[in-house]
Amino acid sequence: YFRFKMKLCCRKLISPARFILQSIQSRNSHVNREDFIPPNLVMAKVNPLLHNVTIQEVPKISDKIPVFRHCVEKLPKNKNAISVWLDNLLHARPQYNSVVQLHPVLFDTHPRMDILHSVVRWQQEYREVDYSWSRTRAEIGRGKKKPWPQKGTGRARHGSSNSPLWVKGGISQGPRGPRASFYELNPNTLLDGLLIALSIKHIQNDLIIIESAQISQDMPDFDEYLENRNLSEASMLLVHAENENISYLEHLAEDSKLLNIMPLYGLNVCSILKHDKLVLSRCILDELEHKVLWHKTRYPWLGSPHNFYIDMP
Amino acid sequence: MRIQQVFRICNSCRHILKSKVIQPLPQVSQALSYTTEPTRYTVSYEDFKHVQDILPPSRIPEPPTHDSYPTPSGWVAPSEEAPDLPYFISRTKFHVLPIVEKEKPRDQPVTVVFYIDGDIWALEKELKELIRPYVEFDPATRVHEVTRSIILKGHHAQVIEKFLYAKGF
Repeated sequence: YFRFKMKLCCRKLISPARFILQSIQSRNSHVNREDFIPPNLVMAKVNPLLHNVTIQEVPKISDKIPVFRHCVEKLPKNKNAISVWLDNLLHARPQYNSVVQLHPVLFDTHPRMDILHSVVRWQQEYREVDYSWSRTRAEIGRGKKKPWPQKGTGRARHGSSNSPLWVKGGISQGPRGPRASFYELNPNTLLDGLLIALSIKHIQNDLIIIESAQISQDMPDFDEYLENRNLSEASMLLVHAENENISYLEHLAEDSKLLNIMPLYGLNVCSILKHDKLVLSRCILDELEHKVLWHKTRYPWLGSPHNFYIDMP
Repeated sequence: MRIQQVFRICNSCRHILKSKVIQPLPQVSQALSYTTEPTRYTVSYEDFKHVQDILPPSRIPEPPTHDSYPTPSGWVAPSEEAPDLPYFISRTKFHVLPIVEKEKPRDQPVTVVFYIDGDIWALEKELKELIRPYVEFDPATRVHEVTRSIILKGHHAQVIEKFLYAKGF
């Protein structure tokens, strides 16, 4: 990138630093305008993503609407199941026909921002390896010779020209070799982070539940589908089950910049927060509920996890 | 002296070996040659049922229903419906009230009540009045909204347990 820019600036006889500065300033000149709204701002009743789009009101869920899926696991006493509209990839317009019930432990946890931060930080840091390495005074291959005699010359007394005091000498407390920043977080913290991310998506109306991710080419136009739901500029993460046939969805994801596909075992906090919308297929919900609540209600491990239980999931 | 002892031992061994008659090995018959058939065995899983009876379940079971509460150990089952109060305290996964007594450094006994939903400040007011007769000075409490807990100065687990069991948590 910089070599390309150097060639251009040589033609125009401007210094490379000035050329880069000018390009950056021209890219960000829209920020200084009076009517500028940052794209990640979410204000009540005013969403900048929807400026050029007609807003479709979502009807409220009443008790008469048929429930397509009930919760599998036992609910806590103080919380009711969360009901959410069930969407379908096959219909161009959202038909608010049926409703799906979600478990409050998964989608209505107390939003602990410190847990979320620690989980996100772990996800980004545990893979990092710092390969920086600097030479000490012993590793600089210049020898042990005394540069000038102890007395007589007017200069300071030195024993070697490799010492850290010298220019081009060794570095005394520098980085020493590949250093991995791997660490393990408590599995309960990781689980809580996932649940907090899911509940944040639900609270901020970024959760969409789909009947099934298994579709053929009978599906209507995907762009029209997104436009009708005001999702044409929103990045989506579609989570599907392993037994679903996703061949057509893979074609769609390849072509579009905003759609990503993921199986259930790949669900993680960074991906959930990175994408604007989270789309879950209904087949996942049972498995997710079962696994999460098993972890919440199981006996603690005696030592390390083992398989010697009657009812291991 | 040692060398003489060694020589004496060697001579005696030689005499012993000479006197003993080495008997010939029994003749190996053709059936017991190196090319024998491998030993036959059968695999059966019948005895595994005795192991399966001992294997534990992985999920903590629901406690059985007793005739009268409190049980001999002092445990009281939670009420089936949530009580009509502005706050709610859920049980731990071992079906026990979420109260913990700990000793913070430099002689600071402390009780922590956690897993609180709803209006924590209302609970804090009630707990303060609960603890007042047991405390020398003004009862010290601290509300931690992030972790949904109340921290009280001093060890008051039994008093708080009685109070919460009476409410039906």
